Amino acid sequence: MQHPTILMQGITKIFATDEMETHALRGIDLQISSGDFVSICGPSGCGKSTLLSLLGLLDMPSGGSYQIEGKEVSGLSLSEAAFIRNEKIGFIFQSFNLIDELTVFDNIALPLRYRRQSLAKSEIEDRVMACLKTVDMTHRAGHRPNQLSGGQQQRIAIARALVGNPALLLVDEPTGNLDSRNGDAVMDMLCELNNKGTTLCMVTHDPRYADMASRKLHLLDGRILDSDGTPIQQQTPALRQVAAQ
Amino acid sequence: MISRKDFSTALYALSKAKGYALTVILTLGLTLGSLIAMFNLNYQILQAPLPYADEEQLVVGSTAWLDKDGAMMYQRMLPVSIFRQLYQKPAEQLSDQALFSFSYIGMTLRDLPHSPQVQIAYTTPGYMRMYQMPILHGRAFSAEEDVGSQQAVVVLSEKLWREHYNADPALVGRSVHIGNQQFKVVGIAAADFIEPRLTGPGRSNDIWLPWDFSIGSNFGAGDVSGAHLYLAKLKDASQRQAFEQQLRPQVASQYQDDITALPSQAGRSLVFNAEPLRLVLEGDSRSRTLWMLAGSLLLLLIAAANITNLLLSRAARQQRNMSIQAALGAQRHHLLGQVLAELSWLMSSALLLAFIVAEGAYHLLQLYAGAMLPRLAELGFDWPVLAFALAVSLLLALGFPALISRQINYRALQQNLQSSGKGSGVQISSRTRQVLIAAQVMLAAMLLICSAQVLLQSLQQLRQQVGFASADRYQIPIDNITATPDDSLPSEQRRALYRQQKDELMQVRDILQQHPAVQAVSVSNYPPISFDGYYGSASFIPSPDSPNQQLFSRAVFTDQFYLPLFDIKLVQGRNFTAQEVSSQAPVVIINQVLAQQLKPDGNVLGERLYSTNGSLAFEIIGVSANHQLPDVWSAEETGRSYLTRNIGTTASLQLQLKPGMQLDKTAINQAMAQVSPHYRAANMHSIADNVTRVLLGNYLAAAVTTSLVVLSFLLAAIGIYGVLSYSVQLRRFELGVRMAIGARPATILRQLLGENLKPVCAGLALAGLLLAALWFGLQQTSFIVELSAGGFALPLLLIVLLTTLTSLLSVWGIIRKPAIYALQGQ
Repeated sequence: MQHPTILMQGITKIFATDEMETHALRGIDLQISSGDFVSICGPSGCGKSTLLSLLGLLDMPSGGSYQIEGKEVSGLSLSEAAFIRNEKIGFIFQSFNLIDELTVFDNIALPLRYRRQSLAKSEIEDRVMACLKTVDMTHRAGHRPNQLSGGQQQRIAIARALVGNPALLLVDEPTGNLDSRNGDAVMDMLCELNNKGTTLCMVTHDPRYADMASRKLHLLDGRILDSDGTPIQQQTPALRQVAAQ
Repeated sequence: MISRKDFSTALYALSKAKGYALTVILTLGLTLGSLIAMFNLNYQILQAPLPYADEEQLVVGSTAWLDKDGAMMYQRMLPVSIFRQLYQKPAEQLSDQALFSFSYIGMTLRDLPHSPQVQIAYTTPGYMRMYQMPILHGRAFSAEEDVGSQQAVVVLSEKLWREHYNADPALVGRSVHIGNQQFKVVGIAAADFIEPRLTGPGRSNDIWLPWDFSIGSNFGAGDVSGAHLYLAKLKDASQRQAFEQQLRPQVASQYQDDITALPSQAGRSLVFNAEPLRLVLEGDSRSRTLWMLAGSLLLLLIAAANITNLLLSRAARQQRNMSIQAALGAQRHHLLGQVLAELSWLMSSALLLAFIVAEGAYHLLQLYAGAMLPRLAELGFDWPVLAFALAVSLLLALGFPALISRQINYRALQQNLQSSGKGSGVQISSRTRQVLIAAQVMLAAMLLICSAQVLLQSLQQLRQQVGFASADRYQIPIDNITATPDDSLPSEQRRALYRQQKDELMQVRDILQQHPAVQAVSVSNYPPISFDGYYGSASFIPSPDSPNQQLFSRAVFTDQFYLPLFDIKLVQGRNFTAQEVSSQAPVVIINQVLAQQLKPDGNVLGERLYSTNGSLAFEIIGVSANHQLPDVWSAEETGRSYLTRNIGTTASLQLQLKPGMQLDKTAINQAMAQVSPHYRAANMHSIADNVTRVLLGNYLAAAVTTSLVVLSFLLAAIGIYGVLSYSVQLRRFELGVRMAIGARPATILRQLLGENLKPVCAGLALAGLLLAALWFGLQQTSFIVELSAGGFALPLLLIVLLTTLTSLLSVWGIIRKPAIYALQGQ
């Protein structure tokens, strides 16, 4: 049986300090299948970034179950989580997060160099160049990030996210640091990737870009809402059935 | 530039960063304190005015005694009879003069029941004038007590007067019994008299007697003494060389006339020198103290590099606050004002601690290095030292902010908030970080390697067996008031009188051997190492046909109990028999060094050694193992000889007690009283203490270098951790990104280690180059440097280990948490 790419059930996240506990996520049920393009919207502090962190295994949930392609990942060690992140997930950040000291080529090659089994130099080169071609930046392979415009840097970030052939691309406000022309170009590129089969999950404030996704999730106070404001998990028995399998 | 508010804010901020503040204060306080102490030590020895008026006019006259081949035998000797004459007709360049000598045999205050041993200086009235001896009661020596007057008067030190005569002012005018004579007390020297330590920093005198009473004051023509000096004050300091040049030919020519009748002295010569008093007092301490100053300066440099790292690290941690202030319009000088306010608190606390550390260092130096370094008693608070401390502190206080202001990227601070804290923010260039690590490692490696080399050498010396047993062994110098046989007596008669003394002392020995606490007793002139460092000597010639081939030896005139008592091994032959000792048979035991000088293969049993005039032949009956105890006189083992001859004036008993047993002077004096009223035990010196005293330099070197190694290692650890931790703080976000795209904790650690080792290797390479340059430089000097592989390997290993540990520590907080924490800057 084909497992969904992402399956979250009853995920909670609590940040505790000496004085208080903050419930950032209060029982999230979420399924993302291969080829989906899901956008997550919501006001500041609703838990979007926390959810994205959990989806990307950048942080671990306080409770609930989280499976990637059928494998439970909610209790992995830091090292195991790093391997899953490296092989299954690609990240695109709002502020690009390229490493200044590395060239464009090396930035993109970085995930391949963290592979559990090291890859041949020629294979790394082929895959990096293929990704550069995808984002139309082959001519900038030897440049440093600070020699590129914001739009170009984000395209490099996309190439870096793609280079490992991830099962899921997590995108955090990809246009937040870009002007509208570059923002549109990046979104076009993401849509094209989705059309070619890449699974995407994107956090955005911009309703225009959120509407470009095939599925749109609203978050409020740590819960996913339907369009009428009702927490969605109360109305989706089918999803619960899937999770129970 | 700095407001009161800045100071209170800085104090509050520091109270919230106690670890940081304590590290800076301790690092700076300890190292600045050491530097202040070492500066003061050098200042005191090399620059501080002597406590005597017109010090530049004060000189110490003596002669270098040269052998036939021109080689110097002894540096500071005096042909007493020549200077007795010169004293009567002083050179025209002099405004004052004095003859000076000191006691080197056991002397006691016999009027006191416990007969304490005293150190005696013999001198003339000019001494008290030249060194302005302040008198508490009575008076100094007068012209009536000058050379030839034979006036039995004495000036006591305030300490002796207080400790043994209850500070009784009525003592002036009464008599005290010193040795075999009564002396009338004419004065008590005041406690604030700082005596010029002419015979080394370790000895201070308790009593001043007229020079006429010194051993050797009546020495005849050709006799040269190492216990006499000629002290003078020039009318003008510039006349020192003229004075020297005037006396040099006079002394040289008179000496040649004096030795005409002494064939064994033929060819030897004397060269008169008038050395500035300061140089004589300074001795050979200059190189030692300058090295200590250099070491402490290096420590401070390491500390400064550390503190720079810590300050930069703190600035990086404070970037958010700074960014907000910059966004609100704070100028660079506003931000620097806060840095300066914090530094002011830190520097003043560190300076306070530094003065406490310096005081502690003075105390330790006085306690442990008093016998090695001059003028330690004068160490203390001094204006030049305070000025130096303030200048160094000011330099640091201004240097740190200047460096930080160059490194803080003000524009980046302003942009930091614009990127909502998600950018890379303020950065101090990676080149600066690398340079700091490399500099840190270079300084630490140099200090560690130099200290480790000295430490290993000292430890090697300390671990080495000295070649004789010292535990439970004691040297008892004898205060002997038997009249010295007059020179006018025939030599046979004189020898018989000395022999009688030796026989009496052997009776004392036999009585003491019956004491239940005593294991063994021997009579001799000196033990293997004496409490005052002195030794007897005898020169031999291998054959009457080769009178010029003299073999020098440290000679022990003793009995058959000496070698077993000290557990001195015989590698060939046998010990003396009782019969040989009682008959003073012409036999000798020599050590391996002397044996090899005689015959390179060292097989000398049955061979003969001759007295320098060829009249006496001694059969070699045994060869003893060498000692391994370099002293101030010789860095290597010299020839040694053991003879059964008369002892002379420097007799002492060597005593071995049973383990755990004790014996006091009274029991020894009772044994002596059964034989003769002439003998008193002057003191009981532990041979183990004598050995320790000789090894004190090694102990001191080991202690200083161990402290240096520990301190520099700690400083290096703090510094390298500081800069790495700071570097990781700046890279937290980048590391978060790497972790987000799949880097495992081990990968991050490996990567950081690889990056950190680069500047570490650069620092080590630089240190290697500088040390090689230093080594080649030292080859051009008279310094002997012995290098050991361990002294290199250990520091290098420590630094690599340190880098690994600090790399792990600095990144531990990041890699043991989920990646999101690093990405969020937590």
